[in-house]
Amino acid sequence: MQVIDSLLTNASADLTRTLMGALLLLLIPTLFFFIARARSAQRAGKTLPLRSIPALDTLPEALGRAAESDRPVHISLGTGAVGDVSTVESLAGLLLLDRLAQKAATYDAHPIVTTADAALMLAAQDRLRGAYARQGVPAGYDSSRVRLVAPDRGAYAAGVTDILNHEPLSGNVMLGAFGDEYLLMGEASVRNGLPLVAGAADPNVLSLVYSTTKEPLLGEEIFAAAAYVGRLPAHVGSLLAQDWMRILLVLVIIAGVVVSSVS
Amino acid sequence: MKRTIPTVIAMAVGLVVLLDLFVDNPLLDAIGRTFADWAVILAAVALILGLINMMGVHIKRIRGRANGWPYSIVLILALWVVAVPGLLDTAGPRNPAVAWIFDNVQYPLQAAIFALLAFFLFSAAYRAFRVRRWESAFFVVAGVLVLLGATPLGSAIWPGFADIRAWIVAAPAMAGARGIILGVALATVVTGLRLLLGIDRPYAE
Repeated sequence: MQVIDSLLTNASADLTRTLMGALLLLLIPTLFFFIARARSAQRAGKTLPLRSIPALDTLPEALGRAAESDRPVHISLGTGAVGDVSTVESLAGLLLLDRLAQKAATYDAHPIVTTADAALMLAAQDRLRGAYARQGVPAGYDSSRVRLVAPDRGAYAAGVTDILNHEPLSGNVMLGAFGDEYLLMGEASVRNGLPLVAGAADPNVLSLVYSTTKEPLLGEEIFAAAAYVGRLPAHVGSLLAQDWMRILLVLVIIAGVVVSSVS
Repeated sequence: MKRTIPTVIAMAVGLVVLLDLFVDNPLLDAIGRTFADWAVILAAVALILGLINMMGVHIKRIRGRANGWPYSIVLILALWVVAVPGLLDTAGPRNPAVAWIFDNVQYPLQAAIFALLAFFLFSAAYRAFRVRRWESAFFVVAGVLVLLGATPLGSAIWPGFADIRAWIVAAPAMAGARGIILGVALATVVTGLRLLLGIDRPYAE
């Protein structure tokens, strides 16, 4: 490895960037292959099997409950923002919102969406508006259902806790980037007896998520949520590509351990 | 057309910024920096729209006499009391009045909110330590051992608790955390690729 590193350094290339480039070159064809497979399966009227994530099985149930009880579901997109390190986690929440909003429009169960970032709020409003339009009920869209609570993490948690404590809700979905402030909102959910579907990518926050919900979404499972709810071939295919790449990475790690142990 | 133009712009900008990461080129560096500056300006514009949304939501609450509507009045007043001195002064957030509000109201309130976490942690730990499934038993045993290893009481009972704690943190906990981080990193790259290649378009309805 040191030889390769020195060769690359001499060629004014950086090892990390080169490995990242190699990973991308490997991932892009894998991604397209599995998306094509998912599309052809869909055309044949089949669905590709996905590994079981119990937390996501409860989501349609939560929307059904919201429709029956006429009380909305609260969807938190986290304390992350579009444009910083938490962008992809925030977008994972946004993609799930897109799929949930479509189902919510069908069930006539209008959600309340909260964000801590103004750009994310605008994107969420756009997704919600689009979902209602796709379902043929554009009049059902109300822009005030997507709220910028506060850009500060603590203030956002306080604002969301107030919504969870005082607004009539039938469930709480928390998907995006969270820090320690998650616990304030998660505990409010538990205290009010609201069914909670929550997940986090940060291992430090996962212990807090575990303590507030029976079936937490662990790490990369938050990125799989949209694929489970919407079953779009692009999402299903990318999830399968991700799983196969992970298996490959594990095999590379095991091979590395064996090689370094033997040598 | 309504979907194509934003998609093409987003893909082109994304690919240029990605290329800037891999190639050392002064022109690409300059373009990348310009795009980053534009992102800051766009975020500022978005913040204005966010404030309009916030005002709209709370004015609606006041008009409809929703539960806790007087707090909405406090929120709107507080918003303008902080914003006006900052907007009227070229010093902006460094205006003495704004700085005083931040130092004496905002920061103590933030500290108070996060101080509540200590109490919430107790009830969260109680729930997490209830043996619901067989995995919870591992959770309880590991938690108790780490607690004993981290407190003077545990070391007074048996000094070996500190070593057990160090092993749990360095081996199984670290291995688990790295596994999660690896999965998240892969998912992040795949989600980024879907956006970059225009497969997902959260910006264009």
